[in-house]
Amino acid sequence: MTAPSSDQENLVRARATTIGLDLSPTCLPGVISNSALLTHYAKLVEQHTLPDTCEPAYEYIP
Amino acid sequence: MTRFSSAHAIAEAIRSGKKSAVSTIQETLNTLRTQDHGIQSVTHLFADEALLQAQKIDAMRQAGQTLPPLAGVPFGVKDLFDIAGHVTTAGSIVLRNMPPAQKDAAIVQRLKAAGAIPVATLNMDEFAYGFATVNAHYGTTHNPHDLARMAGGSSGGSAAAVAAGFLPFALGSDTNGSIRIPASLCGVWGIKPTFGRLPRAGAYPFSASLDVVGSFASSLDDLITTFYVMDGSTPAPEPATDTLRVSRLGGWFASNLAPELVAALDRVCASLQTTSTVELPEVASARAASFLITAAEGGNLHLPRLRKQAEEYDPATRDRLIAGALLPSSTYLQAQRFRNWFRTKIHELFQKTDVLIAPAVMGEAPLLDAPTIMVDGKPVSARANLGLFTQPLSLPGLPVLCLPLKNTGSLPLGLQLVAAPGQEAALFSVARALKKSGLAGCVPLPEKEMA
Repeated sequence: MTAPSSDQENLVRARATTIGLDLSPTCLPGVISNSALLTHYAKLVEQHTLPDTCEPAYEYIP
Repeated sequence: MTRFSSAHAIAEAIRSGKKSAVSTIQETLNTLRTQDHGIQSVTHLFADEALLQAQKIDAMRQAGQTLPPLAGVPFGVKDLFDIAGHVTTAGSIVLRNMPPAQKDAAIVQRLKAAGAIPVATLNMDEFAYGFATVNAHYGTTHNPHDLARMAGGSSGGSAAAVAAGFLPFALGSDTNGSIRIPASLCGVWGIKPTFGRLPRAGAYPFSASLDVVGSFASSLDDLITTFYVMDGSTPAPEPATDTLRVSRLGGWFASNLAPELVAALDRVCASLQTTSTVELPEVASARAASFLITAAEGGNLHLPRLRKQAEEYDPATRDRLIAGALLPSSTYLQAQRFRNWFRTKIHELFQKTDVLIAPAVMGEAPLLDAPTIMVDGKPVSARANLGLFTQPLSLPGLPVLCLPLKNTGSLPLGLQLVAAPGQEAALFSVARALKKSGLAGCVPLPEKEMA
């Protein structure tokens, strides 16, 4: 496993601060690696240009 | 012996007076106390309450009353279903100081009204966030077919207890594959009903957009019977199998498969005379959207506790939940918008077909001490990737029946039968045909594990 960059760490810490969450040193590596995984998935979803009329599925009916 | 008996057989023995409900429950409790050490499927027994309920059923019979259909049948619940008078821990110690549940979960109420008796809570990944049932607080559930292997998760205790023959059926929940993956790896029947069909009241939540409650069973008849009890409806007429348009899912769902699974899929499709293959669009994005929605909603759900008692969580669960809580809102909303787009595509597909066939998991259960699987020629974490084929089908909320394959020459392998929303009866029709043809059925344990 490669060491997380300071940019990744700073981003995770900044986001945690905005929601009032203190990140302990023990959880930081795991949070950074999980955030990297979610960023990968976010890119897959965000590559799609959806029409403005495509609403979020708040009240989802299959 | 109640071990390996079906719910129908147990209920019939009690109804006919061959066995009492009390002796049935006593035998079941004894089996769970003495036979589960190597598997570790059980986290708590409801011995006193179960025996009390059994006494009431025996009293009803002695009084000449008509017994309900599942009278005296024992079952287990994933550790996230409320049982009145007990704290629902959801596979964690974080909730241990919460007040006991005031009433049973809705589907437990319906099953109890039909005479079934909850006897145990069953192990799971903490807060259902995993595919392995490797739990830092309550231990690892082992696969009854090979104790060195994963049972799958997150409802692994439920699948393992059914596969081991301890219980004829058990309840689980499925957000990204948590019924289908352990059902496949343990060789039992499983159903993830249409999103929203069964009431979730009293089931501890994980991801409100995706959570579905369902069940495992050792027999298809029991799976279907208990489904309609939980649904609170009378069984729907099943369409004749030969009138259904059955298609195989290709593309994403045809890659990374073990050779035994490819051969079994071929046999199943030949038996059903299925020649058409269809593909879902943007499957990788559908899986990603399911992943992101789960992470964001799970993270948000636990954020108040993560601020105060993060150290009490399983470290693996904690770090996933925190990462989910940190996701930008725009990412979550894009995933929810993509879900609606994908829904439209799914409905278009079901204009041309009725039932889809797909693998549930790519191969046999991974070894617990080498938890990797091969994806695109590379070893990757099993815990993160066992949902490769289940997660994309979670997103649209479709009903999926997980079917255990027989005679594969391997450890258990499973298929997903997928229908349009609300069309569970079509799944039951196809499953019955495959059972009748000998291609599907609960996979017997190897003799050394039966002892």
